[in-house]
Parts: sequence; C-alpha cells; structure tokens
Amino acid sequence: MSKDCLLCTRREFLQATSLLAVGAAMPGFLARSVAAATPAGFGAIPGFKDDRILVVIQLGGGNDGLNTVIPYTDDAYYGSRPSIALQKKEVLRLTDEIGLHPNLGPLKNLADAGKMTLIEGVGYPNPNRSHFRSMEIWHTATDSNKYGKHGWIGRYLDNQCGGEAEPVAGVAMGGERPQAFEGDKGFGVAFQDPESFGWTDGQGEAKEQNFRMMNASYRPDNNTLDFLRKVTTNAVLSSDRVKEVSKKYKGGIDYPGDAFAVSLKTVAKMIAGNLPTRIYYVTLGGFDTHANQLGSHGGLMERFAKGVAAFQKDIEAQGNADRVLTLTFSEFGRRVQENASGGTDHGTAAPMFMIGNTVNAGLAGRRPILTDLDNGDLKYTTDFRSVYGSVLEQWLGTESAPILGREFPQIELVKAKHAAKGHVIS
Amino acid sequence: MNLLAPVSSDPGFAWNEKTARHLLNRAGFGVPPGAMAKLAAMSPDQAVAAFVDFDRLPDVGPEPPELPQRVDYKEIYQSKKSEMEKRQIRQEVRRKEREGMVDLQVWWIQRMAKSQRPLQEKMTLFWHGHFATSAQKVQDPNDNFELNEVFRNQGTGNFRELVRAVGKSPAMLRYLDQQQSSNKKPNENWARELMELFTLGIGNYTEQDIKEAARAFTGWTQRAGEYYYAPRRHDDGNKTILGSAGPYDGDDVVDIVTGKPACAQFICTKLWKYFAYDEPEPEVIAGLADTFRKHDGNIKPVLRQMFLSRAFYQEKAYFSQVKSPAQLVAGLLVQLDAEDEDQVAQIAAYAMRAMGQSLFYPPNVKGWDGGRAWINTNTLLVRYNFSNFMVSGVVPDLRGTQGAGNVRRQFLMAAMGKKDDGDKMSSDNMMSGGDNMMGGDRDDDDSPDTPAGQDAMPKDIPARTFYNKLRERRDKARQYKGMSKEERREQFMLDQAMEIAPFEARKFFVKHKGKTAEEIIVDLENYFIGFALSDSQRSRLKTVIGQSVADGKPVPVERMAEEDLRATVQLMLSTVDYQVC
Repeated sequence: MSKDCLLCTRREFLQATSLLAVGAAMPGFLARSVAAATPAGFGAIPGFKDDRILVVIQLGGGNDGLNTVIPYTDDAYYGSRPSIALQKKEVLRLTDEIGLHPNLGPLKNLADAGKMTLIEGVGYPNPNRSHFRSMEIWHTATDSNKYGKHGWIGRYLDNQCGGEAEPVAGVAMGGERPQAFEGDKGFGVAFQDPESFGWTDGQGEAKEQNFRMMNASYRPDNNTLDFLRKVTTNAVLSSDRVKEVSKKYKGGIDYPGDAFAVSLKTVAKMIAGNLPTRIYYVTLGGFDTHANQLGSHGGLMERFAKGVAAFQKDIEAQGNADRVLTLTFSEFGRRVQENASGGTDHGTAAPMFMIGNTVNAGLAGRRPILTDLDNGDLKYTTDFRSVYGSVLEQWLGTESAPILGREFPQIELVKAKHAAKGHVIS
Repeated sequence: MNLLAPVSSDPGFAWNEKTARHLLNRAGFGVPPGAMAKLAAMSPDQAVAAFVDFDRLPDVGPEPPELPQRVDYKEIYQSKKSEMEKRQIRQEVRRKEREGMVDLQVWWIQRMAKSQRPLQEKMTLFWHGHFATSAQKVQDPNDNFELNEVFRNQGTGNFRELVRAVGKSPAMLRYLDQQQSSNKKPNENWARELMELFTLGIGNYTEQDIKEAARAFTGWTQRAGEYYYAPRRHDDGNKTILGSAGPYDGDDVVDIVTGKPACAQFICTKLWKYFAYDEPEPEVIAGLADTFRKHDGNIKPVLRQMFLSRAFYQEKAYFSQVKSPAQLVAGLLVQLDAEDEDQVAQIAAYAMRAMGQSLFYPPNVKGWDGGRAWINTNTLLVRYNFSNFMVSGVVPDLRGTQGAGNVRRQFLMAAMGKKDDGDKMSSDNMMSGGDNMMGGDRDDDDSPDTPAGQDAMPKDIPARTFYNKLRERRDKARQYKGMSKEERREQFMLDQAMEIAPFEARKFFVKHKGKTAEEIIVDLENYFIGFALSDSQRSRLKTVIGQSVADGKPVPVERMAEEDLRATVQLMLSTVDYQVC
C-alpha cells in the first residue's frame, strides 16, 4: 500500500536529484524548482486535516523533576533536600500542592494562559539509570529490557509514507541525528544553523556547483556509493531548502542569545517558511547536576523557560500557533535525596511538559509519592509511551500501536476540538 | 573455491597495484606517496609481512605527549581547604586532564598517519572500539594512555593475555565499575560486558554465568593507577561458570571464557568485518577460528591468513567500506603529505569529533557502530568540508585577500554548527560551543549510583580547550608590535594561514609536469580514489584543471594558477568516491 502523502514525494525527489546535474549551474535554482514542483505548498498533508508540527525538546543529562515542579507542601521534599530545596515562598504556585521553579516565570505565564499541560510522574518499568541507556529507551520507546535500533519518530515517519523519504520530514537542531529519528526510510536531517549547513566553497573552481556535479551520478554498481550519494543529495537539497526557507522569516520576536533559544528561533524560521517538516528536535543539555546544583539548575530553568516562551510567542505572531505543539522530556529525573555535594544523582520518574494553544491545559498523570520510594527513587505513574501514544493519536492523528508496539492508555492531552479527526478518547 | 586458501595457490590471481592498494587501505590508513608501487613489486607474502610483522620495523611514530601527573582526589577532598578552594583545585585538575586528552588525540592521529607500522595502529583502534572505555568517565589521561599502549603492544599477541591486561587496566577497572565490586556486593558490569561484548556474544552464556563470574572477579581493583588485588574483597567460594565448577578467581574466568569455541568465532567475525567486509561467509569464519584456536588465541596468524586469503581480495571486498573518520582523516594526512602536522592534527582531532569519532571518547561500551552509521547529512558535509579545508587552508598570495581566514573560520563554524559572525577575529565564541546532546561543557562527576558502562554521557572535549591551545601557538608566533591596524590584520591572517597550510599544491603537482590534463586526472584518480570516476566527473575535473589549456596539450603545471590545482584536488576529495575504501 502506498499512501498518498507529501512526506514521501518520490516524484519530486527524483526530479530534484536529476536537477542536481542539470540545474547546478544556477545557484538557488534548484530550491525554487523543487518548491515549484510541489502541488499545494509544503504544509498540507493529505490524510491529515491540517498540517501539524511536533517540537520535541530534550533536556539532556537528567532533569531534576522535583526541583522543576516542586511539591511545596510536602515535608518529605524538604526533609530529603535540606540544602537544595526550593522554598515555599519562592515557588510559582500552580496548585495548593505544587509550584514551578522560581525561574520558570515565562512558563507559568503560559500555564496561566491555558497553554501548558503538566504530566507528572512519567517514567517506565525497571528504570535504567545510565544516561545512555535510558536515553536510548526514550528514543526507541522499547521496554527497558529490549534493545531497538529504530526510534519512535522514525517509525512514525516510516509509517506515514510508502515511497521515498522526504529528508526534512524530521529536523534535529545540532550536529547529531537523534536515535529517535532512526528508521527504515532515512528520514531526518541534522543541522545547527541554516547558513553554515552546506558545502563551503574552496578556492577557485571548488564551488558548490562543481561539487554537486561531482556527486550527481547514480551508482547502481556499488551499494555503499549509492547510499553515500543519496545522503549527499539529501544534504544538498535540505541545505538549499533550509536556506531558502530561512529567508522568508520576518523576525520581530526577541529571543535570548543562548544556543537553545537560537535553535528554537531556527525552528520558528523553518515553520514560518513552511519547511515540510513534521517533527523538530531541540536539545538543551547540562542537566546532570551531581554537585552544587542550585545555581546551575536555576540557570537551566531560566534558559528553558525563556526560550520556550519566546518560541511560543513567535509562532503565535506567525499565526501558526494552532499547528505547533511542543513536548519536553528528559532521560530520567533525579533521586529524591540530595547527595553530599549539594547535588542529586540519577533517578527515575519526572514530569513532562506540553506547550501550545491546543493542549488540554492543566495537570495530567499522577504525582509520585515521596514517602513511597523504590530504593530511594520515585515510582513512575505514567508510562512515557502513554504520552507518545496520546500525541501520536490526538495530535498527529495516527494509530499508535504500530509505532509503539502495543496500545498504551491514552491521556487526554489535546483539546477535544483540536484532537485529530477520528480520534476518540476512551 | 576455498575462500581462505592463500592467494598464492590461485594461478589466476595477480598481485598488482589494485591489491596493494586494498591492503594499504585495510591494514593501514591509506596510500602514502609511492607505497602502492613499492608494495605491488613484492610477493603477496612479503607485502603482508610488511604489515603483520611490524615489530621488525623501527617505531618512528611521534613520542607520547607529556601528561599531567596523577592526582589523588581523596587527598584534595580530605584536606583542610575550603570548599571553594577544593572546587578550584578540582577544576584546574580537570582542565589539565582535558588538555592531556587533546594531546593524546593529536598524538594518536599523528601515529596513524606517520607510523611505519600502520597495522599496529589499526589494531590499536580496533581494540579501542572493542574494549571501549571513554575518557568521559575515565578522566585521567594516564589511564587512557596506558590502556591504549596495551592495545598497541599486545594487540596482535595472545587474545587471552590481552583480555587479562585490559581487565586489569585502571581504565577498564574504572569504566565498568569493577573497582567497586566486592564479595559483599559484586558488581556485574565488567563480567557482563566481558561475555556479551568482549569475548562470546549474546546467546553464549546465561545470566547465572554472569553472576558467578562477577563473584570470581571480586578483589580485582586498583590503587593509585595500578592494578591491585584485594584478597579480603574476593569471594573465594565455589562458582559454576559456563559448565565448569571450582573456587575460581578472575584469572580463571578469563581462561574459561577465552577458551570457548564461541570466543574464537566471535573475535574472528569482528576482525573480518573490521578489515574485510560485512556478512562474511561461514567457512571463512570457521577457518579463521580454527587458526585462532590452533595458535592458542594468537591474533597475528589470524591476521596473516586473512590478508593472504582469496576471500580478502574478492571483487566484492574492494571499496565496500565507508571510511571511518579516523581512516578519512589519517588518510588525508598521509595522502596530502601535510605540512605542519602538529597543527593539522589538532584540527583533525577536532574535526573527527564533528564527524562522530572522538578518539578516547567512544559513545558507550559497545564502541562505535561504524559503517554507514558514520554517515548522516551533517557528518557527511563535515567530511567534505574538512577535505576542502585540508587542501585550501591557505591562499598563496594572502596579503590583500581574506581567503584563508575565511575558509578556516567557515570550516570551523560548519563543524561547530555555529553561525559565522562575519569579521570577528576572536574565535572564542565560536569555539566555546553550544549544547551538545547531553551536557555541554559541564563537568561530569562520577555518580556513585550510576551503574556504569552504563556510562556517563558521550560528552566531548570542550572546544575551548582545543582552541586555547591553537591560540597559544599563534600568539607565540605573531609579532604585532608597531603595526597599523591594517597590517596587524594582514599579519593575523597570514599567521592563521601559516599555521594551517597543510597542502602544498605546487610541490604536489610537480611530478605531473609535462602531462596532459587528462593524464593528470587519471593519475590523481589512481592515487586518491582507486577506481575509474565517471566520464562526467572526469570532464568536470578536466575543465577545472585545464581551464586555460588546449585539449590534449601538456598542462604547464608550473605556470598554472595554484588555486586551479587546489580546486582539482579539492573536488576530487569531496566526492562520495573518496568516502569509501
């Protein structure tokens, strides 16, 4: 079955590939031709009522959930964290029991405006406390005792499309392509900056057009070469597109200058320019706060909240806010008890945030109980795959079981009137 | 046909430049000038011996760098200094350790490119990926260096003894938490990876075997950077491991595990994939495993058999591998005969990180996946741009132009994934880096309850360390006193370019004097690529090199614009064809 889907624009891709050879003499020509060859602009996706985008934000290193969403009336919290607890009077109260880190002001504003869902106690059975392994589990969405190669986003994109891959269906900001993108059809590109993503001219005739010509021909005789040619083509095409799209951005929204905010700004640019991308992936690292964490974690909270708020403001100004939903996660939370260095060690369950105009605002999941611990760690209450599954069904409008391997309970995360058509919350 | 039979038994087999190149690429890091012809003139046995019997050749590789002295953190922590002071000391120690790691990376890249014993380095890299430990967790450069030397000195020796030496190396003892294991609380990490990743492979042991082996290994620990056996922490009870029972200790487990037939299979399969091609024929592995066992687990006879086998020179083996970043970078250094190797190697170390292979920092205990996993849109562009940079790092007539500085900056920018902010000379900002996947530049304390290996995050060496070193050198070299702003600027550009001028095009092309454009292209193709490029590629290159030359006439190499010569090489190296070997 070949699904009719713009993500897999086989014809366009082939056309573009041949253009590599003939059109190379005209810089910029290629991107425009490709754009012109596309029927209804990039955004619309047949099979979807609308052209929805998911932005995944990875908080790398293990974000301390308990100092992000603070149970400020819980004595067990203060008892476990004599030197790093956040005080009742400083937390930004969400309810009578919990509040946000004092530096999450911009996020609190989003919550107040009904644009944030907080999912508490997210984790998975038999948690692994290695960064690498736990991150792999979140990326592949497998059980913690199973090893998978493909990522959940890769499987989603594979699943949506029967033909050739549209490389930019998934875009990761940064130099690494996340394992979550891994799939059969090779969706997903990684880059940091639209301007520097691409070939760098050398001297004399070592120009892009010549570089393209040197790599344009098919190599049916050698698999490896043909694979490399395809990736080269993807890189060249995406870099063209990304640059082209980037030019359409009008700006006007103030972003902080840090790398995370700059990445989000780039995502906003790509969205403004209608890059045919369904999933964007952005990372904020540095959460591995084993020592003296108050200052460093506070700084990260501030960066996180300011970046996300600027991004949300931007897509609202663009008129794209109903199309974009942002989801945050970290590979694990941290232990309840602080350690001897004023920090926290690797733990388990933690909250996730969903941000956007269309979220079913409020609280979801269930708060882990600080006095009912498993070996010093929180017991998870919501499997992260329930969150993925809910986003897949309610936001991206696709069946989740083929992507996640089985059904997970749905959580009402998207407002009913925005939930993908045909989705019924049980 | 018997695939493992030596090529000499095949009357139809011809030893020539093609086979010589294959051997140079696979048993080494590429084709140095003149090497192909030299090797082709030998017999296959002699040629293979030139790699395998490397201990007969002098070790001309650069001397190891001076590393910072070991630091006893306990001493710092237990001292009466204030918390602030302790932290400062610790930060200073970490800075030196990181710099030590950069020095080690540079040193090793140079060895790969310069050593007269390429197979020794290639095997060192193989074992580094096999017995992977990361400086992310094993922070002392001395530990990392020592394990690297174990690979270098024992890498073609007896596998059983290699496993023993690795297991007792402080780097591995720390990386897989063996040093924390005790009879009261055996840590299974090393025992598990020993069976799963280092010797047998999944399916050839049980969970129970791991538990019992972990008990046997208790007592293996380290003190001040030396292996140390702690008898009081050892569990001296009976254990049953892989069907044998006894009051085993760690050495016994190494003997038991490495003696299993599955081990010979496992290691030979991995060696074959590393050197030859994926999906080896079962008879090839069976034969190699037989040799492995017959020689009591010695690696060298296996390598010799492999490099002399008919299977190794089957048509499907040629150009079937994606070059690893190490192979690509060392190969470029070798082939371009790069000047100022110290500087170039520093940049190469940095570029390899952007390509996904930071030496001494494998992503996890499984090492690098390799093959096609090296390639994504981003890493591939970095590879092209790095080749580009290697060739065009300097403009001959620099004064009055801005070429060199820009090229370098752009490459570094591209590699860093940062925006080039125009004319700003200080590269501090661009080099300090943004967030990498996990942790940015943040220090990583060992988490006491991280079941490691299970390791800390794959974080990289902070770019700042690297850049500071570059800048130090430049500052030493430049004399800006008494210059006008404009002169200073020019001098700065020149200095930058001088530091990184890796490729002397004119010198390189001198041997092509008197040839036509077509002949030169074929020469270059033969030297860099090894198989025929397509007609369209050739004609493109011909246009570039011979712009001002009539067809069929010799190219006046000595009068040609240097940039045309460079552009020709640049374009040839920026092909998919140069990415394979």
